[in-house]
Amino acid sequence: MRNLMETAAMRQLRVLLVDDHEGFLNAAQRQLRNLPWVSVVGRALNGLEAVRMTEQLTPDAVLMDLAMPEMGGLQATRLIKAQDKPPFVVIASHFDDPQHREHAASAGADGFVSKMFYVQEVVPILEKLAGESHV
Amino acid sequence: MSEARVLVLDADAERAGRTAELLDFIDYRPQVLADAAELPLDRHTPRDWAAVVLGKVPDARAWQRVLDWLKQDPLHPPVLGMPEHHLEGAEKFGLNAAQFWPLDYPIKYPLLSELLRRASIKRLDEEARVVATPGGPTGRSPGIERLRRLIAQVAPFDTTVLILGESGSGKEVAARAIHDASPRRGKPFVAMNCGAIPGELLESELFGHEKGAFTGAITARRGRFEMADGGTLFLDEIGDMSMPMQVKLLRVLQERCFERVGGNQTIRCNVRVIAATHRNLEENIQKGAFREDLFYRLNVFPLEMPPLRERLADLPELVEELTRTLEKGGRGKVRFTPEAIAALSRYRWPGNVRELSNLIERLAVLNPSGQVRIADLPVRYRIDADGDAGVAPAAVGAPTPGAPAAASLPPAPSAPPAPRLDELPPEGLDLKEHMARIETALIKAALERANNVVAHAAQLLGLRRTTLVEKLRKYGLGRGDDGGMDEVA
Repeated sequence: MRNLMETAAMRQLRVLLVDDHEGFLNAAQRQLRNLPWVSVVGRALNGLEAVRMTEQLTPDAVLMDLAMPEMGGLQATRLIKAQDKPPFVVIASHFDDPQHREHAASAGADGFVSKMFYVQEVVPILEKLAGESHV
Repeated sequence: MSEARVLVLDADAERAGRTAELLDFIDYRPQVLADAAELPLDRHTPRDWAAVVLGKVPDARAWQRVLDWLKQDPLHPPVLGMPEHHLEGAEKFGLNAAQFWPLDYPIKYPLLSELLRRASIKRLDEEARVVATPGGPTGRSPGIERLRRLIAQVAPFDTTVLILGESGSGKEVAARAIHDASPRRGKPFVAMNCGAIPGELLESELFGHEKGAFTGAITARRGRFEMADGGTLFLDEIGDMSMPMQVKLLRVLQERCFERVGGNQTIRCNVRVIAATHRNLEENIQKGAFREDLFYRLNVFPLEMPPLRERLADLPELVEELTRTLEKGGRGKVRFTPEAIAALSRYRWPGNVRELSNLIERLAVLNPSGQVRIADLPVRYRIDADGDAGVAPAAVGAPTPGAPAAASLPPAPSAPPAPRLDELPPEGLDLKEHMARIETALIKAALERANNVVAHAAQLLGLRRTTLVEKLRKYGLGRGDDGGMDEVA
């Protein structure tokens, strides 16, 4: 548990959530609400929306589902990484295995979490990101 | 396109319902139809679904129609056949082992999950394969010509090769080129990203495992060394391998044999190894993070992959090649104006060819009209002839030498109203100056609203604080040095 001093030193992290399951988005948002240094600035339901919203909102991090209709998480990651000042991208996959991790890495994702342990795996990644000093 | 939808064609309503429930539970979205005839083919493409579950078929002709429609796309999703199709299904439908998988009923969750996992990997592998550029590194720059000569030199032999190069510079392309020019070309080329795979899984991924080797090892599984047998194994990001794994790898390279995790049968290894890294291995050796003996074993034939900025002469050809491959992979069409290509040729490309590929793909998807001019490029790529990115102010405040005369407009505290953003006056305008005026006005407004706290103003503008500080400096908006503005750390 972070103490108040540590929390104050962490910069506010602006996060975009992307998933085609609204239920999953709601649950994720509820969990992240417990973290005062995280601010969910938007939600997208597919990769194309994610690309557009990332450009508009310029979040610090994008937490993105791998499998989505219209455009999946991997293509969206590649496109997002081509915009100006691209955010940190974490792929959330139903399947956590070497092959899926390799594909996520190939697309340029900065992190990978399994959907089964989403919050447990995502929070340390976000903590590290928020705690990093930005020059 | 990664898909989360599964099509269920089953006239057995109860079974279809149970299947849908299970799919829902696993986070997939079932689309259930009793009869294939109900599927509107004009509103779908075969790849809309991760898999097609085939149950009771009330109308064989309707199913045949859907099947033929699916097969038009060689990368269509696999058909998971219910028990009544197990015996003859594959043959009757003209599907091979990669396209037709038997499904037991009652469906066991682990089996269904495993089939969907494999379907997902199959789809991802196929999509990646389509955009892999064949024919080796592109271009005629001195660096690439030299690379080609070295590849030709080393390919015929089983010599281990170590490819050094920045991230995204095309190390895998070079590795494939070596494989394709070698006597092993007809055999598998297996790649592994040692940096992407968690340490505890690396060993079993590389060497395979026997049944029961660890919790969850319900069957024996071949590792990548075995899958590459007779061919080439490409170990990317070798610098990320843990020390214990390095020891094991060294042994395999020396003795040409290994055992699966949890196994004691020695397996002979007939594989040509190519390794790659963006790290400085010699530095890592000093730091005690990489073994010197493994380094010497791998570094028999080092190959350097030049970064894109050192081979900018290749850029036009690369753009052409990448555009063609993306189009072939169904990822969109795009054409660049000569000015846009010129601008790209002035950029430094820290992300190398992968960054270029991502940019082209982004433009192809977001610019459906297909034409890319300089203005269509993201700001950081719009390098003008002076080498300034994005909105390079012609002159704001102090005129810079060589700047067009019309542009030395001192910014008023409250800027004069600019023409509407999308309006081009009949006489045209100086775009740089116009953009500079807009940007300055907005920055000033943000500073005002933020009580001159730079960090808050940056947030209002969606910028990093340091970016705003740069712009303030560039436009000469800082009120002097230290005591000028309040800055929140």
